[in-house]
Amino acid sequence: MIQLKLCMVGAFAVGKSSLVQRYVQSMFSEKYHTTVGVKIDKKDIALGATSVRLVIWDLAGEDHFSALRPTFMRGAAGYLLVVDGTRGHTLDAALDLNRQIEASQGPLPFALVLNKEDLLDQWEVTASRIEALERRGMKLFRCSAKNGAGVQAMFEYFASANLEARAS
Amino acid sequence: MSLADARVKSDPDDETTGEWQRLRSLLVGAEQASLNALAAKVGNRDNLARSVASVLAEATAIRARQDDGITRALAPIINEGLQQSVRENPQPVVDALYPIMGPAIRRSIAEALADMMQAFNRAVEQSLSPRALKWRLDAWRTGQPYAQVVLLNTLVYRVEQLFLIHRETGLLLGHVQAENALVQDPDMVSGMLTAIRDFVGDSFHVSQEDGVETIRLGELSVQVRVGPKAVLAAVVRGNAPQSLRTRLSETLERIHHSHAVALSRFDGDMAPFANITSDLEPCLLAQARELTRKPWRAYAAIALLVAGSAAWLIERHESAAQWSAILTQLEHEPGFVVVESGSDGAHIVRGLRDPLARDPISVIGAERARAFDIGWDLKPYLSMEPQLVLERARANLKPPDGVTLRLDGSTLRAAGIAPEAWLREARRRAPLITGITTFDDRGIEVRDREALDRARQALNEATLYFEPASDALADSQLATLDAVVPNLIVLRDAAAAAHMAYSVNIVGRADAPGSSEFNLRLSQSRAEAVRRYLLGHGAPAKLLHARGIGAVDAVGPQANEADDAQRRVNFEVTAAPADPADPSS
Repeated sequence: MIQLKLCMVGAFAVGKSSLVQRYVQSMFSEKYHTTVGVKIDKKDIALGATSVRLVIWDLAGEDHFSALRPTFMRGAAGYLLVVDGTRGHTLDAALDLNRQIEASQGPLPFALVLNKEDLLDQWEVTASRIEALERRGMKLFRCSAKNGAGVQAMFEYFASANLEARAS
Repeated sequence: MSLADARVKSDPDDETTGEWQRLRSLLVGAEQASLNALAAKVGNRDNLARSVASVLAEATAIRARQDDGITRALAPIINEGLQQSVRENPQPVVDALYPIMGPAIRRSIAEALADMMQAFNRAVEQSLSPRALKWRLDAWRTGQPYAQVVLLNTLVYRVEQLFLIHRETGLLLGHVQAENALVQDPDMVSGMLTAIRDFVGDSFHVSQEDGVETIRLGELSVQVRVGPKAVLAAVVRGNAPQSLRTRLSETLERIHHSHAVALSRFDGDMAPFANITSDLEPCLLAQARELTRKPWRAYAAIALLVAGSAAWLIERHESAAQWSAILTQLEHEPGFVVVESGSDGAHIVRGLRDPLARDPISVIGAERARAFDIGWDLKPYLSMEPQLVLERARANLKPPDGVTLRLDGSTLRAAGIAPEAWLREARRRAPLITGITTFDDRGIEVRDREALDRARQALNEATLYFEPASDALADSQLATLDAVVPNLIVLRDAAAAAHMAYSVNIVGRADAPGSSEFNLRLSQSRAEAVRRYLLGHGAPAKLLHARGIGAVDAVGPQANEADDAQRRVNFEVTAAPADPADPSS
């Protein structure tokens, strides 16, 4: 079995917790976000003969471009930057967090998760901006916490990418 | 000349042999002798055995001190020898073991009993003592299993869970738990524990090594030991002694040592830590509170149990005896057949009961019936027992007072005084009664016929006399008339009882003088006068018919009668059986 620590970061109320809560085993309540600043969940994925256990550190969102607690990122195998597509500034916040993380942890596998795909008509994050990010080689996922679209795929991508990196 | 040359030369030359031998004995004679003696010892089996035997015990002892080679070599031989010996003749082995087996078995039993007693005492203590009640209350209040509460209260401490956590990632490398411990998902707990330690470290600016060592919450504490690559966290209930911390530190150090490479290169692959639980399990320590008291509760409980059982057995025995007495009583009671009786749990009597038999409760007594709370399942039947047949005859025939019934085999014998109507009915019905074939009524005296006859006779004899040419009732005649009335009533009643119809003719007469017409009228009015008087004095009207017949002819038996005697009124009673269908008759 492979165990991986996966962090979820993003601005306040982008739907990180909603995104995972339908797909993970959870035992801690939301109040840990406001007290300790992190909530830990678990997701077991079977990829062929290998089973992967994702231990998901769901980090509290902070609305200002405030400092991320780098200790919580330590030892992570990767992270997901969660963005609320209907609020453009959450993308800026995510990119800022990304810079902070790269500065403190060095380069780590990550993916940009554009949440609230079900409200596509209200999106502030423009298609051209998304294309620009993709051109920079950033891995992007469109998800909906509401209808669950893309969430499973996102976790599976992360797990299988890690396995491939190991093999090479 | 060298020795070799000398030997070469000596072989072919026989003459020189004797000299050579002498030379040899001169040179190595002493050694030769001892060599020969040695060869004799080694070459001869007996001698060799003797010499080995002399040192065998010492040699065995020396070797046994060095290693267990002898034990290993002998074990299969002894085993086989023992088996063969038992196969061939077990008695010597039995005899040899006998003095050992007895005490061994006794000791084993004593120990088992002591253990059982102790366990029983604990169980009794845990279920009966006020402390146990308090624990039950606690368990109910806190929602924990009772066993858990007992454990918490009887242990000084117990290590419930151990987490081996990768220090950098917070991922769980190994987890063990004590039996019955309440465990949440260890992966998430491991992560959260790391996060909390990180949080405290960040918040209070302390280094990881100095970070949280102990987290305490009521009865529960988390003892954390931090190594360079891994963290060992023990969840402890109760008061962990210092020795436990030392033990945890040693374990963590040992794991760092044994898994040095795996820890430093950890990338999430759990394979190198597959057997880590065997390193952790020895740390699942616990210390129970000393329980040195005598198991008096167990003794008391056993005494109580014995006393209770004895009382129960005695009561049960008494109750069984009473129950069988009840059944015997019922079986002897006429009109009862007990087919089946049960006394396991409920008391039940199944069987037959003649409807005329006594009530079963009155047979066995109301008090006992109540005490046993008997369920009755009795079907009706007709008993042929004489007592019941007689009872049935009585119920059926309803004999009047003065009549006794007696059963003689299947013959019902009636005796006494009875009205005819009853007798007729009894004759008809008696043979129809189950158990009776013959009705013998020779002992019955029919009384009502006599009264009837007497009344008839009295009426027939009664005569009323009149003055010449008068239909007035003389005072002297009234007594006779008054006596007639009760006889008429007897006649009426008896007739009704015997289903007979009677008619009483009041016949008036006159004396010879006078015209016959006059005499006829006179006689008629005399009869009428009597009838009127009788009716006026309570005589039944229906019976009475007045008729005048005038003067009696001078011929016949009354021809010579005096005139005085001829002026009279007589009664004629005529009877005919009434139609039984006519109730008015």
